[in-house]
Amino acid sequence: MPVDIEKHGERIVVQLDGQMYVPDAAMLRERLLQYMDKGVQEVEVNMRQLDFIDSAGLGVLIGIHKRLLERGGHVTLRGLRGSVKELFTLTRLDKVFEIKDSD
Amino acid sequence: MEYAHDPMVVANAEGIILWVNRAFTEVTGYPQEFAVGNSTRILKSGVQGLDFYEAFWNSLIVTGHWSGEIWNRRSDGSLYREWLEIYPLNFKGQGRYYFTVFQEITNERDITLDIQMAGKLQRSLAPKPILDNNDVRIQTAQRGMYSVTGDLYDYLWLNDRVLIGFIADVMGHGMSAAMQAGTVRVLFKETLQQMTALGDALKVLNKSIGHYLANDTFAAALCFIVDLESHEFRYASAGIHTFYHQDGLGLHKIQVDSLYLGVAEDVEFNEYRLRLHRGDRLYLMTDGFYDLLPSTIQSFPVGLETIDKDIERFLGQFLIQDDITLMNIEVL
Repeated sequence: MPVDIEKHGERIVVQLDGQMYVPDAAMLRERLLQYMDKGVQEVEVNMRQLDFIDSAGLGVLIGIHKRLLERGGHVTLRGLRGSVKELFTLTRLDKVFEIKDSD
Repeated sequence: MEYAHDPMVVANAEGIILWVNRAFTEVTGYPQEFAVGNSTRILKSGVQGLDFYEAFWNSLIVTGHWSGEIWNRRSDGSLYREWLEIYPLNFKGQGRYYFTVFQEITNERDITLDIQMAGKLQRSLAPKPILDNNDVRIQTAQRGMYSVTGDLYDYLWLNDRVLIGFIADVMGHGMSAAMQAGTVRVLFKETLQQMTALGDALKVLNKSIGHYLANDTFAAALCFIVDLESHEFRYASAGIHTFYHQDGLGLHKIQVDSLYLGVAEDVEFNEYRLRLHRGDRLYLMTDGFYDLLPSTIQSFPVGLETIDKDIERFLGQFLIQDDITLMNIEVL
């Protein structure tokens, strides 16, 4: 699964495309933790091109969200749609994360 | 065979080495040109006593085969442990030869064996997968991505008419998820034995589960009561958002919005009820199974009576990327 990450100071923008399964989630987690070790405080995740995410992927987002909350940072999700958006509603994670530009 | 991953040796009945492959040299340090023509005694470590070699030769003569752990010595004098298998080769009129293949037992292999052992232990601690009495029948199937699983389930009779249970999924896979699942199981059982208001029970569990999970881990769960007195299925969910109910009218997909356990503090969880009739079936599952189902199904793809056979056939179509638990409940 292609993952683009752009860094702008203490903020990173993550672009997720396609389908996110366990191996993709593990890789994403490692990459995001590296950025957090470098002092990143804000993570914006663009999910408009994401067609599928399972609990492993949600786990990465929740883990990053909890870590950033502890140090005063936060995660913003953008562009949720289709089954991904439905999953966030069913699991009430739409109440946990700040979500913008969702269909 | 020359390039096989595992070391191999062919020796004659007197123990003279006739052939070795490249992997043999890599593990033992003996070059092929040195090993060939020498006795297999060059490998002898002295760790095994005479009794060992008597049993070894007896097995080879009586059964034609020996396998087991043995310590041997490398060319540099260091000892190593290997899993060895030896078979006789008979060439008509040309005497007897022995073919040996071995694998060095490394820490990695020890760990693999240990994880497999933990998986066996975990399965032995789970409740019996089939609960069958005159009123209700439960059948469960569980498959871990690895030998161990982060999924868990349990059920117990509160009295002879009320069955309480849960199905849950600690996020992640492998040993870390399995270790956490072990403690979460105890937490669930203790809480549900004391609190039969299921929404409240999940609220309490949500507050305490953080102490038993790693920092960025969370859990999904569905708690239920099958009440044969009031003919109700009561349930409360925390992140296990979908299950199926089969009644006389057909198969119904039941969905409920709820947050996972261990994500946020002070979360409210609701209890819901379904009317149960004789012959009704409930199909509860963790997301590892749910994610494999098409979004619309007319009939459930795994039968109650044939759960183990059906689940193998069903899962055979997919690359399994998560732990899977399926619990089927039938009211008789």
